[in-house]
Amino acid sequence: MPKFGKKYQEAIKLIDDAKLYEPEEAIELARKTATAKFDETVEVAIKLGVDPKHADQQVRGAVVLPYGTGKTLRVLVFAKGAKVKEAEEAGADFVGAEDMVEKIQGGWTDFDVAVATPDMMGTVGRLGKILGPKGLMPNPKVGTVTMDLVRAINEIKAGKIEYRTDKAGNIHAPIGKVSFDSEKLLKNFSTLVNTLIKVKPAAAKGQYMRSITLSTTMGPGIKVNPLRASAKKD
Amino acid sequence: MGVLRVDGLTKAFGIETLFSDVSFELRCGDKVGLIGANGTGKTTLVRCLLGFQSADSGQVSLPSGETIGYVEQDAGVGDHTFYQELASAYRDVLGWQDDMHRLEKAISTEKDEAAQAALLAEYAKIVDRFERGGGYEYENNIRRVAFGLGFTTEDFDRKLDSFSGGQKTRVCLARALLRQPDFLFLDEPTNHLDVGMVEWLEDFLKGYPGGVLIISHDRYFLDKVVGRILELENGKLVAFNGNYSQYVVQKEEQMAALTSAYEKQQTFIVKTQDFIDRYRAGVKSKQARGREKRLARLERIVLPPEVSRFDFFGFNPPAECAERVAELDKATAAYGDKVIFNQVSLLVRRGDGVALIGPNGAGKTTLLKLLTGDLEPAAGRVKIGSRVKVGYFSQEHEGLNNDNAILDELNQEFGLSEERSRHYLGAFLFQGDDVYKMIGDLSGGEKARLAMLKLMLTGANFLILDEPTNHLDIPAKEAVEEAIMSFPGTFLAVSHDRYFLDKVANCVVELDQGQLVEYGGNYSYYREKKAAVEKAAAAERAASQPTPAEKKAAQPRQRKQDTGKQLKKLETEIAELEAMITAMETKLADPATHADPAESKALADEYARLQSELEGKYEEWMEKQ
Repeated sequence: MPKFGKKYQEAIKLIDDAKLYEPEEAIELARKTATAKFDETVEVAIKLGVDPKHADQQVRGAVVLPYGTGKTLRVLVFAKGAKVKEAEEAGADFVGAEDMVEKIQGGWTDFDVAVATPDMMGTVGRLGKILGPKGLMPNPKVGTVTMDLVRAINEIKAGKIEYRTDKAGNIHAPIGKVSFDSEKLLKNFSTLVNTLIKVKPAAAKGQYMRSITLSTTMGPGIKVNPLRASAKKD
Repeated sequence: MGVLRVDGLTKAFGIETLFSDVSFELRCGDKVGLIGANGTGKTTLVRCLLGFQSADSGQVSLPSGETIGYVEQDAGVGDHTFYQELASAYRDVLGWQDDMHRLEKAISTEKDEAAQAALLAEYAKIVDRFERGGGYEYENNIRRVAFGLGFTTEDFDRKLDSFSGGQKTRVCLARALLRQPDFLFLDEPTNHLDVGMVEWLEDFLKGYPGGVLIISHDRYFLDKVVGRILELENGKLVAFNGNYSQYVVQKEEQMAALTSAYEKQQTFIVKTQDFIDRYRAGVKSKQARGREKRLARLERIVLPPEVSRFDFFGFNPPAECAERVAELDKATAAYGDKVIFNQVSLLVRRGDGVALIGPNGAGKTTLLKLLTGDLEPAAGRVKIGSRVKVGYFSQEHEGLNNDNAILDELNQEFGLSEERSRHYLGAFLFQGDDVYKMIGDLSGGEKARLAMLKLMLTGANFLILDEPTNHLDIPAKEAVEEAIMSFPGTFLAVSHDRYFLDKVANCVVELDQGQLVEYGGNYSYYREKKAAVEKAAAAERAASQPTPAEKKAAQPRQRKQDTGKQLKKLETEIAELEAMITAMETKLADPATHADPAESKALADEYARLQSELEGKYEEWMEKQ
């Protein structure tokens, strides 16, 4: 049995394990149960009624949270010609083409998201073995292979998160920091939930939102009523 | 979790039906043994399940998205390398990788926006498949699985032909495991594996989360691994719950019940027929006609064909010999400068049944060669007792003449009459026209049986047996077991078949790392002793380490330190550990790291250690909060 600290044990007393909380209540509780000395992240884990073994039941994409995640991401852009300036003006942290590819091949990966223009894909493809395992490879499905660099960079900077089902059909995503006020967290939460509902695969059978659990980095899990969460509008 | 369903599967070759109406289910987590005599169609059935061969009727349904891994009996032959063989498990993924590179180039040169968008959509789909198929990890996976199964970097470029039988089985296993299939089919996986490897395989399969179907004649292995037995006999598949030993009990009970029902029915038939015959024309003729109709309608119980059983026959009793049959006195064996074992001593007494075991390459065959006189000891003495006649059973069966028919072989060599020869041959399951088969056309199992019979007829009173049960199916193994058990002389057997050793041996000698250790019991006794020794060693190790209470007592001051300071220190340590772990993860994700197996293993160990240390620190931090 894992051993929990005093603060965690105190926090867990606030939570009724058998109860499915309203999203608002759950967020309030999550903020109360955050006791660490740093600004904890509020995370959500959603079990979806999909079988990820089937190609037509994959849930993957990206969503811009209205109030961001509270974390600034470092963006690398692969571009050449006029697009370099466009990227720099849009706020990209690193911009380059062959030089960046060589730098990465040399072992540098100090960035959080990589964006590429389609004409760079021939070159960027060489980095698959390095960027792929780290989840940093540009992918059209999450909007990181695009000619519209300004929009892509702005969205990432504004708090765009990627979501993807794991092997068991769960989605894990951050929805902000404990320092956010409850309304902002609720808005981010409902945006994520509604996006997932919009992208529900046609082949998914039965109840789609099986369970939702909210927690902070060091806090206990709080079960949210999936039906009430789905009913919340953005 | 998915279920593999087989429904009414039938397969025939010409007019001969191999099996018919075969139905069963295999669930994730099931461990099932498929047994049956040689040639009953077990491998064909498995190949039909895999879709390698088409069945005449019936269907196999596998939930979409679920995969099957297959470990063939004699696979891994070809002129490609070990790495190429393993990479072939990712054929589809490698195909997607090529598609991705093609599309990346096409996307970067395409000027038309609509066409580019279409290419991007296709690219996204293929990348998704590639990622889900483990495309980014496949090289690391190949190395991880290969090193896990005891291969080294040097093996990657070796041609498959240069691998031994046991290694080839491991190659097939590695290839099958790379994709972590939902169902795993294994065809005779324990052939050619040494005992240590077989035990590893048992533990591995027991813990395998998917469904496992094993064709095997290794009864000990089946006993340990499977929870259900499917027996393919006379073209029908019958299921028995439990492992092999439970199957044997159930089978006997079934047979006893069937025989009893058969006897009752026969009594009834005789009685009824007697009544019919007696009253056919009398006043009870109506009753007799009624009974006649009933008898015609009666569903007759048919007993399955008699299974060939070993029929003990009187061997010419081997001549009496000295009490000390064979003796090694501080014998040393070496090939040139390479010493196989040094100063080992062994005494085989009259009537002993000695099992010689040890890992592959420990020098078991060398020891046998010393006893047979094929090899001279480099030092020490090998003494064979007076009046001892040694008979040697080799794995290659060199003593058989391929151009002879079985019957002629016995007649010529031992001058036996046809009747006598047939009597002996019947005991070793050669019946009817089998005896006219040419030896060159016999299967490995049949050759082994014939070689064993010939050995028994030589009148040798000390048998030296090298893997006598390899290639034999279960009835043949039982025949050989019974023959050896009823053999009044002395024998020394090298075998990896633990069931066989358990049954026939009364003494186990283990040869490992140049040392010979004797255990005065059968294989089970040896296992018990070995386990007890290991337990004692583990207890000793544990005793030499301080208990948590002692550790605590050793650090009384630490407790008294200011909690705030401790917390700060802990947080710094946690941050450091996390940074180290992140750096290590980056390193582990790099394929170049896994080029050297030693480095790869060291890194993985270090990573695990750091992880557990970090968890400990987290717990400590929580406690102090």
